[in-house]
Amino acid sequence: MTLQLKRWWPNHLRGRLTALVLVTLVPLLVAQASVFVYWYQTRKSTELENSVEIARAFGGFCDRYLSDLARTEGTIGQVLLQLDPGRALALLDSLADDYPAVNSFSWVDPQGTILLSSRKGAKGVSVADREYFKEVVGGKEWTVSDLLSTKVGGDDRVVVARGIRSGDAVLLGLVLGEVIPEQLGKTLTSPRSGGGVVTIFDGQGAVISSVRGPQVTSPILPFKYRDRMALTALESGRQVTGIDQLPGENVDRLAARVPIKALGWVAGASRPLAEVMAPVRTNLLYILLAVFAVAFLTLLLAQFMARSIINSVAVVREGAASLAAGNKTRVSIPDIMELGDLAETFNHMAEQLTIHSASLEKTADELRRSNQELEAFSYSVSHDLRAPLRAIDGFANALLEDQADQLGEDGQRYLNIIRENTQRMGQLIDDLLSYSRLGRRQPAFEVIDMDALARAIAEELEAAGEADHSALRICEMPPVTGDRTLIRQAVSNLMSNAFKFSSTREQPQVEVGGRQEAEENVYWVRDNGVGFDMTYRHKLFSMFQRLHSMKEFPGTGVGLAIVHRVVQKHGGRVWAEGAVNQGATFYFALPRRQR
Amino acid sequence: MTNEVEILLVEDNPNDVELAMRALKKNNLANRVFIVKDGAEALDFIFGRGTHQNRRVENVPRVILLDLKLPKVDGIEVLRSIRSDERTKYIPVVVLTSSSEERDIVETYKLGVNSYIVKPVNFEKFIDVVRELGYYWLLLNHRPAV
Repeated sequence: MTLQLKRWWPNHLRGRLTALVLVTLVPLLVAQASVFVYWYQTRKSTELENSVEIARAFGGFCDRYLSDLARTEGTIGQVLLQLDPGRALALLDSLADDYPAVNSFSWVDPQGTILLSSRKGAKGVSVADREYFKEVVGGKEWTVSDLLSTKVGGDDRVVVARGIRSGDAVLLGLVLGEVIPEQLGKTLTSPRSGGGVVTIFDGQGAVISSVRGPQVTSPILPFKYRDRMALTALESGRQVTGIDQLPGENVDRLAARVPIKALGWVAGASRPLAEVMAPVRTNLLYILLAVFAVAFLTLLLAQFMARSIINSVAVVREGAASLAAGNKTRVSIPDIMELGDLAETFNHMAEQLTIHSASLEKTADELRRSNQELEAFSYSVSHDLRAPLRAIDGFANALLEDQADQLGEDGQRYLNIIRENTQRMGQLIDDLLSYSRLGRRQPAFEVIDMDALARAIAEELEAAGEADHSALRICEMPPVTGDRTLIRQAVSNLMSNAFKFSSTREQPQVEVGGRQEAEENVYWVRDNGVGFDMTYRHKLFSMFQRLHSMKEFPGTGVGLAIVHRVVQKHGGRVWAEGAVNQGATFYFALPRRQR
Repeated sequence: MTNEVEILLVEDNPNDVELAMRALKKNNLANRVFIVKDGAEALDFIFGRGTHQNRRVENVPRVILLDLKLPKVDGIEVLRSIRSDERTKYIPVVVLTSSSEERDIVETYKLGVNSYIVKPVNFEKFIDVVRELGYYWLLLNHRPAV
């Protein structure tokens, strides 16, 4: 999970700032979307409520209009009873002209036969089988029919039937008003302006009349169309709201259906959803535009900021690089506080570095000076310390040669002791000097053939009478990288020692060998000489340390100290194994690669 | 020709002078040795200047035994002057010194020294050295005529 995130999380500043902006924008967009959904829903429910109100009002108009018509019919009926048939017919004709929505008025006897009608040809027709007739005969004061074949006039009309009764409630006759559904709608909607489409459904849910406001372009519901929602409203007796589509039209409409209880009809109002939501959609567009503009600007700003930060970082980095290259420059301080701090820290560090390097240089200077002094010292030791020794030895010798008779035996012996010690001191000075010279020498590395080196040293030692080649065995050795002069000195010292300390044996044996290991080459010089006590092995490589007396084996105790120093200079190690009278092996290990 | 100086010994330490003379005598080489006590006098003698202005430069010594650490003008300077003059550049010069410093050896060899000998502390060895020096430079060695 973390890995996945890491892979997607950009590893550069610009990318991270952009990601940060995006991360901030996402909740903003989500919030905006939820606000928009809320608006949409609110708008929708408000509009549905409006539709309900419009439908209810429309239903109310319809109810009132038809009630009024029924009341008027009552009055007409009372009047008709007083008139002879000729004048009565004239009245019906004139009344039909006064009511634009009414096509005709008729007078029906209690048996259902039309006696008089403003419509021609209706006279004598029986309406006894009609539901509205039965209802009125059954006792209803008035009623309104569904769309039907009226028998009094054309098809698909609505009839408002009014019973006319005597004082003791005996049905004297019926007045029928034949209403043209289309005209009914037009009459009722005239007070309404704007809005959507209003519709009246009869008790079967069929469209009686559907009209639209003056500015409305959406189609009205087709005549006699049986509306599903209207049926639901009729069945439940409650208002119904929802989204509906007309048959054959792929447009969502917000629709409300409200039952007109008094008539057993339903009033409806509907508006196309798109039209209703147009302001919300416009808002959404503006909001989206605004959000994208803000996002774009923020991203732009982030890029700008990233560039400014990157530039500042680059300034610090270049300054640091310049410092690293050894320039005495300082990093210029960027105006971003943290980077400014960083740059200042850098400068501080550079300051400290300068101070440190100055003090280092000073130390190096001091070291150089003291080295020079040491050199001057060893030079004067070499020169001046030996001169008096030479004088002592030379004149002691002169005394021994020229005045031997006057010295006597003891005097001569004393002088010889003086000479021995003088010469020993000369030897000590020489060894000390060569030890210090080795220390000062800068090693010059090259590949050394150790076999050849050992053979050359053996020849040299043999020439000086220190070695016997019959006692020597040189095993095959790996070559090594080192300073030839130094390594030669070290091997020479070890071999010389080996011959020296095995010289008292009947059959001296000296072996020189070496082997290659992973990181280093190990070399050894082994003899079967007097050996040494391992208790003192830590003293072996110290200056002027000797495990034997001068009488047994001459020497100054510098040889192994030189070996130690040479090996140290090569980054190697040196050690020894041995036992008293059982010979000794001196090892030194040199790294295979010189740094 | 018989008065010609065979060995010029340049040495400031009187003890060393005496010991050198003793060693030369023991090898029968002390007959025509001339001793100078510092570098300046050595140059005066070699080039016939100052107190030695009556000396002819062309009468060059057979060999010069030169110490390096000398008052006034040091041995290396003396050697440089000898080698940079046409008349004296072929005189065999043997540095006879206490110093076994590598840089002295290198410096004198660069200037064309003929031998570099570290005076041994042991007097017997010194006698040996002087003997070999004498035999080689006075008897065996041939050099170009100036």
